Amino acid sequence: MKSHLTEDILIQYQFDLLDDAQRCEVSAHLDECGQCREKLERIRRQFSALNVLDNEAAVSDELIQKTIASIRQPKSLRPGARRPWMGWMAIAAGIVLAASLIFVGQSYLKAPTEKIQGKPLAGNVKSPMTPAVSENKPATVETSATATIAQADKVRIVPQEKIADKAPFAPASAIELVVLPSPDKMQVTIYNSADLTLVRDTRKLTLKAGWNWLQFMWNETRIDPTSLSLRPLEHADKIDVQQLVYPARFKDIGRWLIRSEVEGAVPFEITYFTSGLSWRASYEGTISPDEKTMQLKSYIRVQNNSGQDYQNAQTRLIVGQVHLLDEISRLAGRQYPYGPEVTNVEALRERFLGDETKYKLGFQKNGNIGGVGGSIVDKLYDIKGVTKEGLSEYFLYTIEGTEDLPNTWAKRLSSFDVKDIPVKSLYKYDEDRYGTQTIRFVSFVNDAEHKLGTTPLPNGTMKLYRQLNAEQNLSYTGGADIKYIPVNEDVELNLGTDSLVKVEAVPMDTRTDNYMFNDKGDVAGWDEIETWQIKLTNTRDIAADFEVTRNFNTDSWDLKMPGTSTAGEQAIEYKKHDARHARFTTLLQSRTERSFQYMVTKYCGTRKEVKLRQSQ
Amino acid sequence: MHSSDRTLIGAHLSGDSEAFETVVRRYGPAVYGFLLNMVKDTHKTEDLFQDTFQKACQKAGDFRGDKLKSWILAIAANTAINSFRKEQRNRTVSLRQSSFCEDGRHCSSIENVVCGTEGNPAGIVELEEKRTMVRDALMRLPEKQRAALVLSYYQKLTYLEIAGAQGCSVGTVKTNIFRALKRLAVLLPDGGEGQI
Repeated sequence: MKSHLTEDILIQYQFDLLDDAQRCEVSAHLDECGQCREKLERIRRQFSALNVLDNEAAVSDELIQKTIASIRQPKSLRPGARRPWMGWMAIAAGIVLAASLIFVGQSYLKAPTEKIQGKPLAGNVKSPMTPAVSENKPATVETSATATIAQADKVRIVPQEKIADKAPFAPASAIELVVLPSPDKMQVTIYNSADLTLVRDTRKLTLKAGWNWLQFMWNETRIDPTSLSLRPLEHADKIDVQQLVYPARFKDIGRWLIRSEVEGAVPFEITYFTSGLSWRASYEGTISPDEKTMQLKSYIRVQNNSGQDYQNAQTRLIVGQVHLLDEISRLAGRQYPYGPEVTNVEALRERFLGDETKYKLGFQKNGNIGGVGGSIVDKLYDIKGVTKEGLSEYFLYTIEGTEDLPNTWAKRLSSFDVKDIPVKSLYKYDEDRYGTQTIRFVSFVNDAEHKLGTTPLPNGTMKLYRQLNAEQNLSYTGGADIKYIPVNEDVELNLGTDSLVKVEAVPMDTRTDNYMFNDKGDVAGWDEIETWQIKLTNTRDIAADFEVTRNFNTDSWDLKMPGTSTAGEQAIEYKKHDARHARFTTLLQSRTERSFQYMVTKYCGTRKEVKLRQSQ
Repeated sequence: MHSSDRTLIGAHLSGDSEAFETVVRRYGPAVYGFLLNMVKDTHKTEDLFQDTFQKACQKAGDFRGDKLKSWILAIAANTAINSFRKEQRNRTVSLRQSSFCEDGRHCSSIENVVCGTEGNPAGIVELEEKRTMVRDALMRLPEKQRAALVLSYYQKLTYLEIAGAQGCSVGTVKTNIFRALKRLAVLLPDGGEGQI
């Protein structure tokens, strides 16, 4: 090699980056060339500066301990872990559980997402309330390590004497916080009338023998912290949930102190109240062309605005009024859960939990769906049924299977679909209540005769359609709000005015008669005799039932009706409705008009007394 | 008794909670040394140290072969490189940094300087300055080149092992190391008289 070696070649030679052939060549050149050897020596000296750094460095025992502790818990809960990916991760589709923890002396951290078994769910799903176990190692307990979730199913009983007598004042540190598996079972019971939801959540907590701290956090949710309750479902005699502490200066955190003689995974039930979940019933009625029967469909729409996601939750709805002393939303909005306000929520919860299974009344599952007015399709897909149970004073609807109820989402579920319910259409005329307008009503009874009656009907809105012809074309007939309808009660739907059916009341004659005088010769009593003509018009293509109510403004009256019915017409009947009212009923055939007159005699002054004596 | 790496990993996988602790103690210094040369901030180093062993623990079942050290160092290198990428996406400034020095580690406290157990105080200060200079030079290298160089020069991993760790060919590793050295040749003080 005649030319001198370049610096690049010498660097590669020095650091063994050349292949064997090149290496031999460079070695041979260096043997001969002093100048290149000198250059190589300078390069060696320059790179020897790298030797001031060490290849190994002493690791503090604290760091090793921290690392070992962090290995025994999921990465997400390690203090100081940075999560810049949290934002996009939360947006990603998939079922996730975000755990949040507040560390002592630091702000809280949100744990990353964790997949839960079950159906995939699109959208941003978060669960800000997640418990974590913090373990405080008493000196007397020999086991040094926290049982990992993998070993969770093994439960070991530890003798009592191995557990320290004195409970720790607070968790030693937040470093040992351990995330819990996702809930095994979750149940939400929505008490609509009171904006109250009872949540029962069963999950396995991995306990350590001795004293354990379980930390709960509920930031940005509407949970009532005073209602939090925890109980072991197994080894209840060996596990003692001693106290629930709301640490000072921390918002939305509660820590349970648990004394356990058991080491391993134990199922626990956590219950609490929250607000922000609600449900509402809606109904769709389709009246047959002859207006004799109706198909009634009921839906339940569940809305979650509680700030918390509920995944795979069994959802139950309470129909009926609940007397509640405290407003959960107000309790949940308090800055700190402790303070002077005393609540009775715990007692209320006990009451609810006690009575649930009393009367199981029925089960209903919908197999078919029929489009309103569309063709009936057999078994298009399975619709979740709603099981209905009677409580002592409420009704409990349980939606079949489990539901995901993500925060800010709403879901509509089918409750029942009953065909051919006999209904009655009635036109009412009552000037006291509806003015001079004729109002149309559709009525039925919530009983077995009407193919209902298994449960009360919750409040809700009803939309009524009328089937016009065999092609099942529909017309919108009207909408009405229905109030809570108990079993065997009448349901009367006010559908508003109908311009095709009219009632007119015309005064024909008014006179006075039968005067009575007192000792001074003044008039002291008389009769007022009024004659009215009632004109009924039905321009519809089906017959219409009428009910005309007249108010006589006195409780002393007599009514006479001259014979008005002709052959083929239904007689007009009347009856005394109450002290002051009479009610006329009749049926008017399609596209007909009919009038009738009545004469009412009202007894005034001393005539009233005379009439009363006569009747006695 | 000094258990082999393979035995330790086997014990860890079968549920022995102390086996992995031994691994952390055995290879902690090498990993920590590597990370110190890879990142500037000591707090960050500690985070990466924990991340590395956590990943190693989770993926212990994937370990094949006998060289546990190079396997863990490969995890450490990837953890460090991934963290750089994340940092580039989310640039952060540590509030713990002192205004008197560039990073947490280079602030030798006055006690350390004055009460050093060996050498004279002036020598310690000079050595510390050299270390700062070399570290600064290393930090100016692209992450992949830095990782390859540190694994090779300080941790004595073979090019083949580095290639396995970085998921690339031996040729790419050599190219990265060569480019790193070329850049260092400019950044490091000249090897002439009076220099190091």
